[in-house]
Amino acid sequence: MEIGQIGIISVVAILNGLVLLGLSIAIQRIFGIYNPGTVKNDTYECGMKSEMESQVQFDIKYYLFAILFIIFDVEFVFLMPWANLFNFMEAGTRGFIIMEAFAFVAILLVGLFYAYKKGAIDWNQEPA
Amino acid sequence: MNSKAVDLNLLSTFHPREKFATKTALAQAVKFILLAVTWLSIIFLAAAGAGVAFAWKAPFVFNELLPMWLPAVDKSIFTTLADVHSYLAPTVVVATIIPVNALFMVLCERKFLSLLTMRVGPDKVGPNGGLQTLADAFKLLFKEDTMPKGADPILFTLAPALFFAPSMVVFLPLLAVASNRLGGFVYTDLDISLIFILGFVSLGTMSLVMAGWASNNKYSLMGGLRAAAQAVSYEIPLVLSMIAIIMLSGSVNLVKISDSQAGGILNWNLFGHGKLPWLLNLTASSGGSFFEGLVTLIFIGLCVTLFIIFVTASTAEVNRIPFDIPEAESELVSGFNTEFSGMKFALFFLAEYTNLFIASAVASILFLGGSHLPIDAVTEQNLYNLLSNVSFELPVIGNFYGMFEGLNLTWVLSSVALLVKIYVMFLIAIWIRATLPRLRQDQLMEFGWKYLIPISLGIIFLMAMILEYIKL
Repeated sequence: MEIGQIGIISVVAILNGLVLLGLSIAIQRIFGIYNPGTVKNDTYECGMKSEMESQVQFDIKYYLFAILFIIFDVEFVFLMPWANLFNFMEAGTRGFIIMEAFAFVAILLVGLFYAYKKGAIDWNQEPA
Repeated sequence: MNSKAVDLNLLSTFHPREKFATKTALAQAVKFILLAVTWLSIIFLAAAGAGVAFAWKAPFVFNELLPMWLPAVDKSIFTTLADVHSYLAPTVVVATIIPVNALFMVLCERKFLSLLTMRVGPDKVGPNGGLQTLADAFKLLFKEDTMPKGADPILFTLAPALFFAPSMVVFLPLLAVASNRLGGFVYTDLDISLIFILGFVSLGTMSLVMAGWASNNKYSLMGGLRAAAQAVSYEIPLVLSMIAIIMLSGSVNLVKISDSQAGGILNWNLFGHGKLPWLLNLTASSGGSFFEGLVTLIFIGLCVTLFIIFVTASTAEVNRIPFDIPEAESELVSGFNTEFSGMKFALFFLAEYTNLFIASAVASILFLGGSHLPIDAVTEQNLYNLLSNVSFELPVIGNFYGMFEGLNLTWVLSSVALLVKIYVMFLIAIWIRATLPRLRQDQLMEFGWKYLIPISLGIIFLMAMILEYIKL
């Protein structure tokens, strides 16, 4: 039921976005001006003639941050049920699950600290 | 030489700021409030109109009216139609409310920014500039649709639509909160609505990268990459602050989180989820222990810090100033949407403001009591009871087969309360924009990873320990 709801509303919404775009492009083509030119359709580079390929090399840092994020993303998946359970359990009996979650997060924090020491989350420093 | 001196003299007599400050500041503020009230009632009426037309008593029409009017048709067709209708109704309401709302948000931002910087702002189109964004939208609709040389035509066209779609999907669970789980909107009340929102918001980032890559432009590529890096960095503190709220409220369902804060301003998560009365223990006369009062004070401090972290992280998630590095016009022309024109640009714009609206809505549901009024629970319940069973007759069509008997109008209270909270959060976002300068890329990343993540992790465990061992 829940999955069905989510599926249907997502499909309808994505179709809605596409229909809106298609409709507006149709309106533009019918009522608007459309005359492309070599200079007009050139890549914008502040009025200068564009040089070299546009899909340039970029910094490895983006990749490092994405890798670090995946670790924390997994952490959310495990902490969300934990937080939910925390509220359901009675006060005074939750010491053990706090320790468990703390141990779990501490392992990740060691990793974060290692990345920090290596300069991976320092934007200006080259990673060692 | 002589003419130059005259020009300088002319400039020295021109003091727009002083003029504005002394004569029209108050008048402009009053005008702004009038404009906001007018537009907000238009938005509310549009949403309510769409809701009435598509969701309100829809089962009644399909199960009783239509079989009565068309007795020859098989009844099972109407049942199927009713099912399809109840799935489509919330989407129709959202498709109505999003454009109207975004039009007002842009106008509201321009007017409020002009108030904050002592200008008049747009005031030529319509009364007090009230139709400015409508005119802008029409202009964008007829603008030429250009595509740069070497761009990927499929991705370039898909990116705006795919950026717009998640903001629309994410809007749906908010309807369940705003309408207080009424009739046709019961389908939008998902048990995992918070996780649902998080999941779909991340899809938007993907389409930003797509737009940056497909544009065949160096600025766009850098903008797309920065958008991805920023979104993944600030999603961590955002979700961590949400986890602390789940710990307090015990649910990932937005309606339940909102309901757990019912009963006045002291029950809001911002003020410690009903723990504030313990603060009285700080004074000896109440008979409590000083230690408990002190811990409560710390607890409320943690809640307020969480709120600040949440607002910071969600500002970064929706690429607002001061975190709008992906489209920083001083270094990256316009970032990922440099090459987009016409309606494609308008879709990006629309989705960005809708995302801001959703961020404000989630902040007000998680921290500011959601759809509940800031009054005590008994008075609120009395108000709800008063509105839950209303009957009236319209002048021309009368009672219309009993359609206006025993109406449930409780959604008016809850949705107005939520709308007001959302717009207060939105005005705070504009205030932040007017106050703070843009961060640099390195400052942005380091602020997220070195400060926000450790602080929010620490807050979660401090809160858990306080809840467990002090037993507030």
